[in-house]
Amino acid sequence: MLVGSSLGGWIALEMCARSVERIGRLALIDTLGVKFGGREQRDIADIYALPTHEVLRRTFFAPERAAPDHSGLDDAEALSIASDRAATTLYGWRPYMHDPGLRRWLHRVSAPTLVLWGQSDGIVSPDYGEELCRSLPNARFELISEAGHYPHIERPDAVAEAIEKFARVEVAS
Amino acid sequence: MKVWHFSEMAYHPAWPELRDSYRVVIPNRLYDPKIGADLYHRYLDEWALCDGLGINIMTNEHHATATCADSVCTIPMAILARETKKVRLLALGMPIGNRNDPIRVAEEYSMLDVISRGRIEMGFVKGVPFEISPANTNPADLMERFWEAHDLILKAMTTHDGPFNWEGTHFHYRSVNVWPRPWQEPHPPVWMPVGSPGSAAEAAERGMTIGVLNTGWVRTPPIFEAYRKRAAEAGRPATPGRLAYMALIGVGDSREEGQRRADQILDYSRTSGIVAPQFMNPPGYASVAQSAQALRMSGAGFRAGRIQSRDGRAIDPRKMTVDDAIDAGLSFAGTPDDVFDQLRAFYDHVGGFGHLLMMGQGGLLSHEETVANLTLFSKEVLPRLSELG
Repeated sequence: MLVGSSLGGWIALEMCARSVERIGRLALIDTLGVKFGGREQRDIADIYALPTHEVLRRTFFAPERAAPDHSGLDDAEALSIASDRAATTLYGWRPYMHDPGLRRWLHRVSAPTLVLWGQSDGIVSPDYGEELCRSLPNARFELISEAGHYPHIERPDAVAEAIEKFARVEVAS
Repeated sequence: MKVWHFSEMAYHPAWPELRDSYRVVIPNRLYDPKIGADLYHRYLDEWALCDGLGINIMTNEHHATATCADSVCTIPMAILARETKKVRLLALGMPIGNRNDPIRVAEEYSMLDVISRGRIEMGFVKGVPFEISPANTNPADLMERFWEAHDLILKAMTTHDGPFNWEGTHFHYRSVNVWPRPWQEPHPPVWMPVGSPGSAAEAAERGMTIGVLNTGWVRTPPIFEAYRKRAAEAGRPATPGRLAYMALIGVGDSREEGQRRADQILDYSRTSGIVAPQFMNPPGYASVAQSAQALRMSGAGFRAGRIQSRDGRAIDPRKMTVDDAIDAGLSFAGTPDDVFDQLRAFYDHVGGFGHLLMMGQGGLLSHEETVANLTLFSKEVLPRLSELG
């Protein structure tokens, strides 16, 4: 089973669009990477143009509990995060966090798929998640309450339980 | 020493409406084209006046901002290429890592060089981080694009048996063939603004002239030293003519008058850094080490501490006084004697330079005051610059 969250979900979709031969199942968590709306519609919140407090508000159900505190990081940790952010920019700056051609290949993502979504995600909304689910041939949608863009951080047990259940039970197409 | 008059052509009438950001996110309903036209014409008149004053001309560009209404640096140069006859014209300059079409840049500079009969100096700039959003270029490989564009532009301007082929990492052309070829051989002098010793060394390797802006008493010496050292190692000229320093200059018949003019010009420094923090450091723009440091300082910290007093104290540019700016080496102001003495002290402190980029207009300094400032400088300070060696 392949599990991807956010940018990782995008990578998982790109892999599966090429071949699902070696993919048993796919779990996508608050995934981005696909463009559904029109050219003047923003499907994915622009985290580089919003004030920090607004990015945190959109990212977490409870930012005061879940937002990371970077002030105490040691050198290696800070360098690692800064390096990851630069890499994210390299891949996701333009087109912004999506591959314009991916939508028309989603029909090839035929593995049984669980689309998990934080109910309070303000980066990519649950509506976007449902549209993604409808675009995949063999997928089921499930909301995680009291969670934003990273439900595995805010509700780790709920996410683990949903994925575990999905791993055991055949998904109806 | 050559002197260059520089103005950002500020659209200051919008300033009273702005608070947290003077850039990127401010809607252009705050711009009145009728007032803007008057401003453009007066700024152009001030540059045109320089032709008779023996002061060269420098333009620049910024985007989506009320601090600088010059969004295309080659447009005022095109007008001035014909309106002036003697002085040289520098654009510092063209943000070639943010422009999608380097060949268009080569064409613009070549055409300007021919119209001006060889008076163009061409600047290539990385651009401040808040230029990334208006251009929507990828900050993570900006410098890679910058250097490829630089190489392509120079090849396009120096190839006279074209067309040639270019299939690079970022730019692809199957038929590069720039008409007209530039007037100057092999091409107009190349400039780059730098803000760190590392960038200075990169420019030195290529024999570019560096312009340092807002680096002052503390940060300038290591930048110039890095240039001289690397240029010597690379067998490139390390003459003062390869080094340029920008200062805000207010000169008057009395010390009070000169300082009052500098105080108005200083509104450039007080406003130009006011940017919503999320645009200050797009990931990938700064080095990973700088970004890691900023992360621990919660966000926008990597440009903090850029303005320092002579004794290394951080100065908040928004609240900087004329005395602060003179102390920091950012401004030379007062009577012609004051300005010359301050300039000479700075010149000696940094080991000399061949170009003074004079911000002779900034902020709300009026047309009449700007004309008086430039004229007095030309008459009383410019003739003495040969004393500097």
